[in-house]
Amino acid sequence: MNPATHSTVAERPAESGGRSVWRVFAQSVKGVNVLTGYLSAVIVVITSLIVCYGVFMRYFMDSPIDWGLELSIFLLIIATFMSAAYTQLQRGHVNIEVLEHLLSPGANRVRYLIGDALSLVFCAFLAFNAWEFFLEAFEDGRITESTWGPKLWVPYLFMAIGSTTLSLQLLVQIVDVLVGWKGRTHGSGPEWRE
Amino acid sequence: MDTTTIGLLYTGVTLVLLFSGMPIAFALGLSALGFMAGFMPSAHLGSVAETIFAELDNFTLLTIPLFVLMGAAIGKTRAGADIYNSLNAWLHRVPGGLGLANVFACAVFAAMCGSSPATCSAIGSSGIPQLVKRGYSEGLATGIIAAGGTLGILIPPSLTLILYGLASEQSIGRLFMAGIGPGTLLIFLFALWVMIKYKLERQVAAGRNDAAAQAILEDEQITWHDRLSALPRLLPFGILIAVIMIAMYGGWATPSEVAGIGAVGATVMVILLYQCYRVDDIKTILSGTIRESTMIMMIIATSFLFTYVMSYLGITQKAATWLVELELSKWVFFFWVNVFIIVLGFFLPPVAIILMVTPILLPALNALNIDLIWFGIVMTILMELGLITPPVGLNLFVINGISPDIKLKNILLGSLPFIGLMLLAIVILCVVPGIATWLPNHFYQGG
Amino acid sequence: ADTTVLKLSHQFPASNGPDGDFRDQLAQKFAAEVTQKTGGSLKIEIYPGSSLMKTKSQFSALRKGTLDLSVLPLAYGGGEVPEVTLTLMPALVQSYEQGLRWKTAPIGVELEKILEAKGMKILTWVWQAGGIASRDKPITQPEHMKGLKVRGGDRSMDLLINGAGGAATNLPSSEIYSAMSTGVLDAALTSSTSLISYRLNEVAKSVTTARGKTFWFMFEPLLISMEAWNRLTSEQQKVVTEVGASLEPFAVEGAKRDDQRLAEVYAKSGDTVVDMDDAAFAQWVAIAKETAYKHFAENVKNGQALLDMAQAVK
Ligand code: NA
Ligand code: NA
Repeated sequence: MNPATHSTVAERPAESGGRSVWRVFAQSVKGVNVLTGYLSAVIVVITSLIVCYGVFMRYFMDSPIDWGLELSIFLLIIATFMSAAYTQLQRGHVNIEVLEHLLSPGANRVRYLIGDALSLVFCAFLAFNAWEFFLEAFEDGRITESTWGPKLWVPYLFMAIGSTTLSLQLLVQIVDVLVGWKGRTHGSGPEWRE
Repeated sequence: MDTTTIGLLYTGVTLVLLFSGMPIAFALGLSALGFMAGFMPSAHLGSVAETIFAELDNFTLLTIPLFVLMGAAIGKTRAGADIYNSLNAWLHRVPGGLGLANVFACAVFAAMCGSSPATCSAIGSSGIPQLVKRGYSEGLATGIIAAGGTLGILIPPSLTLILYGLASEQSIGRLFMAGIGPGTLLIFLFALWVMIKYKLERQVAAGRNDAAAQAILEDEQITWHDRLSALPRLLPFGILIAVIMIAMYGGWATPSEVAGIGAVGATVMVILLYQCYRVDDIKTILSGTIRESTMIMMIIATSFLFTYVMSYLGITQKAATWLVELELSKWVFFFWVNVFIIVLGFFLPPVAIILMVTPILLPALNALNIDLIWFGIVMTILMELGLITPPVGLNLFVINGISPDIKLKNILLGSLPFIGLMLLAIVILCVVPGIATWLPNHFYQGG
Repeated sequence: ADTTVLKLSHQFPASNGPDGDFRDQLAQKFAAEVTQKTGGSLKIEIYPGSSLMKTKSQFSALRKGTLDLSVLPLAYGGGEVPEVTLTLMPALVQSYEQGLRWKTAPIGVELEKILEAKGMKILTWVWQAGGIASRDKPITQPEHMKGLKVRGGDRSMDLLINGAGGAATNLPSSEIYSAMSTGVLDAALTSSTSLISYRLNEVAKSVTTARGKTFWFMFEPLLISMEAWNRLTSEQQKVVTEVGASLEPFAVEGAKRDDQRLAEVYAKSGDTVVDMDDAAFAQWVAIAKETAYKHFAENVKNGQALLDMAQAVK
């Protein structure tokens, strides 16, 4: 977990009652998202090793593996969705900034808030839909068509979890701005960097 | 409501959302969702996740994170500095030598992989900081990489040309060969512009006295000893390129699998040769990789949903059919097809455009006797152009990801001249079609 | 009167004129005749070349009713409805005529029952044969496959390849061409039409056509989703069924023409063109029974019964 995420909190005075419950929740969401972000990157590294292993087994050992292609696809889809929240935490989802210089800081704040809320609408819908999709495939026992034939609910499950944590991350960022805890302008770009 | 009205409305709503400053990925997704709810049977809303998953379930597409990892690993070390210092040692007498080194580095990388964002990421992550450090303006530095990166889909191998070949039933081998000439033409044009622009920036800097001006004016003293001692530093990178080339042309791996080999090769090189194994170094590589690749993958994912709605509502088809039915003369038609594809390229990724538009344009292209191999190359250059035009320009996003300090506006302005050069290349191809067709017509056996 | 519009998606290239892809032509003929015979009350919009949705999404979309019609390789639905794997089982169907006899045989009735329970209905029975493109020597007997990296493209074919001593290799279809040109892949099995449209003649040295015997037969029907079917009036349902059935001879003709064209295209680019004889075919059948059939019987509910029904069709 990156210490930088916590530094913004440490500076703040103690909050009262309901707020501190929310704060624990918000911090947990951020913590989990940073963790899954790094794990996703590890998955990308593992996938590249799998691809090399597949090439090695096929070219040098003459015995192609039948699970390499599908496992790689699954892992990379899992990595993408499981790190969507981490990327959002860092404001890494790129946007078009033409209005930034035309509007006042206050108007920009409102604009970003609305943008985050609209983003949440989409992400929450996707999360809900992905859970349905997962349940459907789980009950059906759906598999792929290869000889390996893995269960499809596994990547679907991570798609659902990933879009859920992404929605929670957006929610936390919206509430942070609404209650003014952030104490900094809600601009684009990463909130913290290494 | 008729298709035209819905189409205009869809375009309008999407533009408003995009320009509101929402993340592009979510803006495209939300717009698609809204029109799905409004104009499509309700069952579609129930399969949003499925549509996205099905589109992402594509290994070639998913090599992006692997190429990004390769770039992030190399970018973290002084490998990038080594490459550019070495190339610069040899090119520094030429005005804009480091810029040229970047253009050539992009071209070489493009010859290894079929994806433009990947080329951009691999070269840009080390190239842009070096260029900026040497006093190149942010716009020129990012423009070189944004445009140089687009060569990935023109210089073979190219995923775009494969898709076009499948959609238009043209020989992929011929298409690949046809890409070589125009690719070289673009490299030449880019290099020429870099030299001109560099001279202009140097002249402007001569009147200033800030750090950037000093960096660009600083006259490096490079001896033959420097040049020769720079060579061993290129060795690791040379070996990596050699391994990738052998893997791809020696029958070890498919172009997609090369991404994995490149990523592992780069990581091993970075750890062993550059001793980059401290926890902090590794964390930087991991964090950079995932942020960048996820940003790109999420845009791809939702742009597929966006395209699906556009296609289902008949908007794309309507526009293309209308164009065909105008019965224009060859060059007028060609002109408007170019305009049409450029406009689509503002919003859509190459894959979507090729798959939707090619089948609809084919009858007209055939009727007007337009060479389909030649047209495929023109179309690919238009796709390249789309990669560096807003609001959806994959290369722009990649660069925005690898250099978060540089404003998107500067990247856009810096890429603008390169868009002009690509259009110029298309004009040259119209006047001298042989640049594309000569090689395949004379050297391609079969098909 | 109200006009009902149905959407038809398929993965094949759009055709213009009689030389184009016969599966797209089939869709176009179907659309034209249905519109004409319903007096315009039923219109069909065709989305060729996966321009509406991904190849693999079509099956699921038909089930859910987000897609009305499709011409698709039914075996693609094998992950969702394991029974349909039967329709790309090696050597189970041995000729176009035998394939069409499924329609009235118990296996056809059973297949329709299974599909209708999953939300779709067969309108046109379309079978298509395929062959083997090879980078080096032609492959007719199983022993020719020994040690080669071969793309089967589906579980049953992969099992057969491994059973023959080859190494089944998983690759996206978009990469077959480059994989064969560099040697990542030694051979590929697919339909005659795809062997032509992927332009493997440029990278292959030989091809085994479907003009003689072939173990590669795939069911590629025109399907309608039950959701769309139930929206039609009984008059429209009748027209759709009749037009669908009337196109079966056209499909056979188109598929056979491509089998022939495969030989011509590959011969023209200087490749060795061979056909498979009965003796070689019998060897493949024996391996298929030991591998793909066995796997199907063991892993699919009622698998053995379905296989028996299919093998009963002569
Ligand atoms: Na390339
Ligand atoms: Na664009």
